[in-house]
Amino acid sequence: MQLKIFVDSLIPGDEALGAPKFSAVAWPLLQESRDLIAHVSVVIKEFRNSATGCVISESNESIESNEAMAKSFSSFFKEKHNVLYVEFREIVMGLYFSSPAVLVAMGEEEMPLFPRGQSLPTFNTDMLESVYSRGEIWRRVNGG
Amino acid sequence: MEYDVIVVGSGAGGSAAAWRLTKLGLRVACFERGDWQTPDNYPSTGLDWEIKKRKAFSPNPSIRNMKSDYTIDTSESDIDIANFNGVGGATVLFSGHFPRFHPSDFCTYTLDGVGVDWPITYSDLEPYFNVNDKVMRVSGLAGDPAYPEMKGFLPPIPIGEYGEMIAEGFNRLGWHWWPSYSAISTGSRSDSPCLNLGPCNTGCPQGAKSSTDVTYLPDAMRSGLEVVTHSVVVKVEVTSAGKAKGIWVLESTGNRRFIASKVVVLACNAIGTARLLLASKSDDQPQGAANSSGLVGKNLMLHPLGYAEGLFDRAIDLDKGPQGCCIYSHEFYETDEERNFKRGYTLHVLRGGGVLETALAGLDRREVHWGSSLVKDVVAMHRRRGSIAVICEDLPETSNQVLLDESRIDNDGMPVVIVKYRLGGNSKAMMSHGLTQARRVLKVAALKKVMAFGPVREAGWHILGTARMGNDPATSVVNMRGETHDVDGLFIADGSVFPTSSGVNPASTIQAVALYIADQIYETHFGVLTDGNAIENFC
Repeated sequence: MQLKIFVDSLIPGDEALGAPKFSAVAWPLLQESRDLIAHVSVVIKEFRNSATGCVISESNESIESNEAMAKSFSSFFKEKHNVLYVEFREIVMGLYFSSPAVLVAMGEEEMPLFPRGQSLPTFNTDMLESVYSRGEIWRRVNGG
Repeated sequence: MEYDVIVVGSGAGGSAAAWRLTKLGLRVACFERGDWQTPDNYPSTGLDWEIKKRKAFSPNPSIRNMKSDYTIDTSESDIDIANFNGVGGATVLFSGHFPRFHPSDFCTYTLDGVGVDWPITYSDLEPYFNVNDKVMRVSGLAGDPAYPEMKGFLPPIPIGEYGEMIAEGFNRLGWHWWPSYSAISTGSRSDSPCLNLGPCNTGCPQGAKSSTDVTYLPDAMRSGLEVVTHSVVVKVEVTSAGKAKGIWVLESTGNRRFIASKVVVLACNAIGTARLLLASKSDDQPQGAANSSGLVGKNLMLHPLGYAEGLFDRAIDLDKGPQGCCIYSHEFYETDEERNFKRGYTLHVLRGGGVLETALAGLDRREVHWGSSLVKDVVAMHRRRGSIAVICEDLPETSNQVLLDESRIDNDGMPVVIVKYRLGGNSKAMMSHGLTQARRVLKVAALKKVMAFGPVREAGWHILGTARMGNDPATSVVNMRGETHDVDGLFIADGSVFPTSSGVNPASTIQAVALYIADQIYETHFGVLTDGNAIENFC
């Protein structure tokens, strides 16, 4: 499952914040994007055959080295297949940052915006004093 | 069965016109190619709202790809087209920022020697603006010195700490600014007041934003308006004597049906309306309906848009409150002979987006990185990016246009629409000036890493000018009443008729013009307006 390792290396979560890795919250959802997975898998194979990628090992790698390799892969992906990379990035980031577990770890609300709502203080019109004091600035024209 | 009036399109202009004509006692039907919306499904009802915003609720029809969308080829345009094809039209996804055109916007040729004068004035439209503000539940603060007197608004949308910090920047520079006029209810509890959700431009589940599916249309339907959905109008039928006779509709079943009416009103935005006119060819009108001038589709104006952005040194409340309704400045709205361009622009302060937008923008700018720092990077960047949009007045140019490609057929069985649009020299100079001034404000407001860019490609919301209003049939498509010079009983009531574009969001003025044209329709084809039904005494 090379793709899973790659995505988890790109999005390993944050232990200190309590944010889970990608596969823990969004891997099943990513499976719905079958075409994307198929295309990205081809890019992974292509990368593995490249000079940088041929040193990849599917296992026995620390997360740090996987992360370095994943970053190397993302640079390769972005450069060689930019349109697909943008789509991939959009989907994995979207799935991850929509996850309640991730949002809560980031200090965000777990409830959707609606009907929760958000409050703001009433506008203080005193700030407009200098605008008022300048007087009218609209351009008058003949006939209204 | 024959209607008095058929209105094609249920967006800003079509809804307002249909409402007024129905209230005047006419038998009116409004044909809409899309469906009613289901606010329970709007993105901000879920945590995945940013995914939906970028896909199913994208303003770009080629990304959204709804069944009701039609193909628009923008490969020869500097700006992509944004729209929405459903009941309420683009007001479903608009931000609600609702300024009026200025009096000077109606006479740019006389004042500045550019564009063309309108055959009507701000004063002609003023009573219609006033009624429209009530129906659209406009909030704001009376007394903006950049406008003639306006009043009767709901309380203004709060500007928050973010708005105050940017406003302080404007104050330090001694420049004009004002809280946004917004088509967003801030009224009593019973009127669904705004909850400051943020992303108004994905549809408002609260019903606080005044899209026309929650304002004009329900009220008009109570007075007898028929709204016919899933009905694609493919042709306007014109008699050999040059009189509008009705429309041909492609129904969801695939059947084509003719529907008769005394008057036809097109309000499909400046692309959809031009498309329909150009496709309504006949032996008598081989260039399309109402196109003896050859100007249908020409003079397309799109309001080139640029952004200046910067970072606050800490997170603030810029994700709270209507994203597109905070404050604006008209400091540079009018022509200054010292500058290298004519006319001017709005500086429009925008609030921020959600976590996903922060993450993706951060990756692009190398402020957020893949790997173990990703989440921390996003947390550190979120709620810190302030931005000012520069909304430039676009001058009419005949080379900027909507065409039909007869060699390609879209899902409606109609020729594919092509948009050819390039920024003119005046717009480029104006954009450059605007981005410089927007950067100044952000720097004075103490934002860091300030940058600016424009024109933004994904910004073709304000679609104007493809069936210009004027007195001369050789240089315009409709007369000062909104009726086409060539076809009796064929009116246009959307931004297509705008001779010039102004430097502000056009929805308020589109609706005022549509209400005005509705009165013209009544007076030219049905009756006389009296004190009892005059617009001034109507709402």
